[in-house]
Amino acid sequence: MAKITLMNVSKQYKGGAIQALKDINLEIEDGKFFCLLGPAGAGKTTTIKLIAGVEPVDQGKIFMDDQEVTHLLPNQRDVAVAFETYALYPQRTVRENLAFPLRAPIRRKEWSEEQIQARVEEIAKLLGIEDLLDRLPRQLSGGQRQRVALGRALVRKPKAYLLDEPIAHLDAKLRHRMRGELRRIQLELGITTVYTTPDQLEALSLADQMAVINEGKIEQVGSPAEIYQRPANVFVARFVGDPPMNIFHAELEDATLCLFGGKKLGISEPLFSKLASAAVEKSLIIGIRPRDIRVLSPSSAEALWRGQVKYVQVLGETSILTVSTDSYEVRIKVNSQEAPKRGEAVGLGFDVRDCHFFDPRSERRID
Amino acid sequence: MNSRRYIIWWILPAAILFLVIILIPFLTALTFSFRSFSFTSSLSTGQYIGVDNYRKLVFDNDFYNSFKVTFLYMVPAILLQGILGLGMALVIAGAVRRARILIPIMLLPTLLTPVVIGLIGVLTLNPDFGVIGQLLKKWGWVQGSVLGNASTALPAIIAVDTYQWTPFIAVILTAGLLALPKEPYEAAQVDGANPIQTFFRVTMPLLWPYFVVALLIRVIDAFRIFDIIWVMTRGGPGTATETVAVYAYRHTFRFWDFGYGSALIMVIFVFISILVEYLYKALQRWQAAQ
Repeated sequence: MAKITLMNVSKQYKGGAIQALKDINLEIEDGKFFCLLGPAGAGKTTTIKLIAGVEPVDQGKIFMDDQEVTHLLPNQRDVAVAFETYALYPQRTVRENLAFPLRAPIRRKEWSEEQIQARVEEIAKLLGIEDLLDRLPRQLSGGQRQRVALGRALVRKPKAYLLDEPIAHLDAKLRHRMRGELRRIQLELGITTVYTTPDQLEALSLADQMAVINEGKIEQVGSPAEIYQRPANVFVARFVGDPPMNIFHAELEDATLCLFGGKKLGISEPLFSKLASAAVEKSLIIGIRPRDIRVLSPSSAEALWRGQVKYVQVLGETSILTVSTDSYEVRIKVNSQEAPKRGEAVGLGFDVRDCHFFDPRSERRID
Repeated sequence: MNSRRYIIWWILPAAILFLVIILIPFLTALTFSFRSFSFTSSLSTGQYIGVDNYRKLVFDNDFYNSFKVTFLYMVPAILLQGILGLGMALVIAGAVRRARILIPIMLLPTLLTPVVIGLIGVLTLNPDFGVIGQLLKKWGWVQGSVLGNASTALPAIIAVDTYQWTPFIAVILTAGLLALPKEPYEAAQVDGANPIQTFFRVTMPLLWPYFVVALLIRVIDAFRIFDIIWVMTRGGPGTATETVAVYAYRHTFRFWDFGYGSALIMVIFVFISILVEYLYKALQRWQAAQ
């Protein structure tokens, strides 16, 4: 168990042509479940590989607890990695794949053969692959291979687990179950875990702490609640939350906020002065979550916008409406029983307290 | 416009090439093998003689000997070239960023024509003025001429063949090594595997398909090897280096027995087809069983 610290870490590929990570600073607390959330190509895998030590760091330092590990070999760092691409040993059975981390020369004396077999069986049972132990990787489906890759990481009790999209290729039901199992194992063992995923829901539901990463830069670090409730910039606002936050431009006028469609929204004096000091030529970016928009009758006095329902996506209990107004398409999450029909005219309203404000130039949150 | 009418025009050049280069010669040889075409005999009118050529072949001990020689050449040559080629590939793949210039230099022997390679072999092995021939004589390893001795002629040919073809295998394996995924190596590093374990757990299994390709190409080549042997020994001394291709050539173009030569070629052709098919399946099974 260890705290992992990345200090000003940068990484380039192809002789500097690709800047994979730019000046990353992260502190991953001891024993925490830390999620790294970002779209494909954001630098999640690179971060995992640098912490594992399988790729050299170009600039910056990595610490585990207070020991610098930047130049240590992977096997000296005592971490276990589940690779997104599985990276199983071909020509070796699932059993041998799972057992190898325990048998490796550097740990030769630590485990007896009976202990190894028992541990392998235990992990296989946990991952639901106990019937596959004598098969070869190429006789397995993608989801089965991924579970073996995860098992090969979990079989040991290292200082840290580094899991690179470890359940991305499982079917939905199994993925849900594995998510629960992973969290349970992590809580039980208290081993620091770095977990990457492009799935915001997965990150929000698993993490103690998380970071949103995009194009090699950390956009925001915080607890899932902080990130969901107070996104630091427009990227995070859009990336976290499903359906994504609605983002608009608005103008500050006198003591009001002028929305598209000409509607004015009264705002309090302290909020106005705060926004006024941050706004660029009175212009602002407003974000509002689909859940925070109310569907009203088109004639309602409270309606800030009017529009027509373009699509209704029923997700069971809730439905997602896409409403086209004069300038934007607005997405709204409503209870399915209250959902209007496709083509219906509706009015939309929201509370200024539910709005997120962003600087139009830097796209950063205005607090 | 009906596009189907055009398809014929697109296929035609390839079809004509196939017909002229492969199909017509093959069918000609096939018909020859059922005829008497011996130009050294007054009866060589090309008349149809049924399976007489094949019947003769079944009782031809020299023909069996040529198969034996082919295998005696093929097995050690391929083993040697596989091992050396792998070593070379590991060096090239490791150095490829820093020493790209090495690759064309190492490939030089493969680029030369076999006749030239054969001549190089003859000259270097000459006991009077060849570099290696003189040394072998001086150390007393070989009495007289390397190529004139039935027990050393075939090893000499294997050595020269290896000189020419090892780089070819190295190139195939280098391409394989450079195309291997990085992650299994990284997993091995994290797990704490030592270099030998990494080689046998990761490199060899992943590289195996490339080995199979190289091996099959060389097996087929072994049944065609002619130039080097003809230049160096003409199949001699005696029949010590007479492989199937040399034997078929001798009958066709030395004894001018086109009928019998064609029958030999047909048998060799069928044999290679079966052998390659069998080897390919066996190698796949072997991999599956590992």
